[in-house]
Amino acid sequence: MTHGAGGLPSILAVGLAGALLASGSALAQDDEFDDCVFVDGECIEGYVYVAEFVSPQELKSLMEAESDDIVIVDTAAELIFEDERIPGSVNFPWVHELSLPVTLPRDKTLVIYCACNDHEDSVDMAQKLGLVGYLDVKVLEGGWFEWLDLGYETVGLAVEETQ
Amino acid sequence: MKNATTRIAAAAATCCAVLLAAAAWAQSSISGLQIGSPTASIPVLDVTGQYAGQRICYVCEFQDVPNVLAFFRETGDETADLIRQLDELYLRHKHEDFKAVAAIVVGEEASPWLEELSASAGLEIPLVVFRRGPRDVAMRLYEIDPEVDNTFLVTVNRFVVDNVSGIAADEFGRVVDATEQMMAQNTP
Repeated sequence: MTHGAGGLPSILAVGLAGALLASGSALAQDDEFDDCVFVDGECIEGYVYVAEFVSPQELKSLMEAESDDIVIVDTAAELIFEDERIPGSVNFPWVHELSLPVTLPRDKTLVIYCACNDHEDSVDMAQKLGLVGYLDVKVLEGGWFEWLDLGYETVGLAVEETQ
Repeated sequence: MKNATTRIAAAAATCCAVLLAAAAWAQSSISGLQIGSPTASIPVLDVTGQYAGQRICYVCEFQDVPNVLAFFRETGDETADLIRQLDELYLRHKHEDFKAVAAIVVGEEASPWLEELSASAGLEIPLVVFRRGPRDVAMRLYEIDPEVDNTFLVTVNRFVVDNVSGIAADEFGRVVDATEQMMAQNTP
């Protein structure tokens, strides 16, 4: 009886100590990853995303050379993409959160563009893709609007309508 | 017998109330993206904003900040009144990083009217047009009913949080209420 009564506080004390240790360890682990940005599952401290750009002229040259090393990615919604786009581009609409797995090829240079004033959606998408391991992603400088201003070729339903 | 009549009358009244509520709901959500829909980028032609004369995407420009995207079927006194009220709403909340834009669906032919309205009323919100008018892909993307006079999408974090459409100028309070509710919820 006495033994039983004395045992319960001991068990509680051991349990409490264990819980404290465990939470302390978890806190230490949180601290350890405080400055961490996970890039493709790897902790990189002090990671800052810096967009890399490719000019429309350079992209056009790559297209004319029929380069197999690039994939042009349009971040517009599907309807906009169907309406008008850069020839050969694939549609990967901008989203708040990427749903995994991403089906874009990992062994090519992705050239991302959007119909934005300051590359808002394309830079955001490039950054998001970088975080899941797409490390060769470039943003089309000037985006869709610059492409149109330069009079470069486009394809899609809207183009077919005007022909 | 009297009881049965009362029950039938009560049932009929309930049916009417349900039908009226359904009609009111249908009336209030007949045009534009539904609540909870994401707002995709849409290129428009800027008429009076800082990018006047250029293609622009105000949805991209606004990003996550609270904003109202207003679409008007055509120009006219009612549209002018609503745009002025939208500008006043913007002025009341611009210090809270609130944004607003008004798009006229009819297309570039509306540009002179918009320029005149903006100048005469001293509007600060940008006025834009759909480049291809009612045939613009933005109409389908944003599910805008071409028969409805106006559509106000109250959005934040690039999601629609309220949709007010087909209102008269004296019903703009509904947009104000929806916006202020969003602003209150968005306050850190």
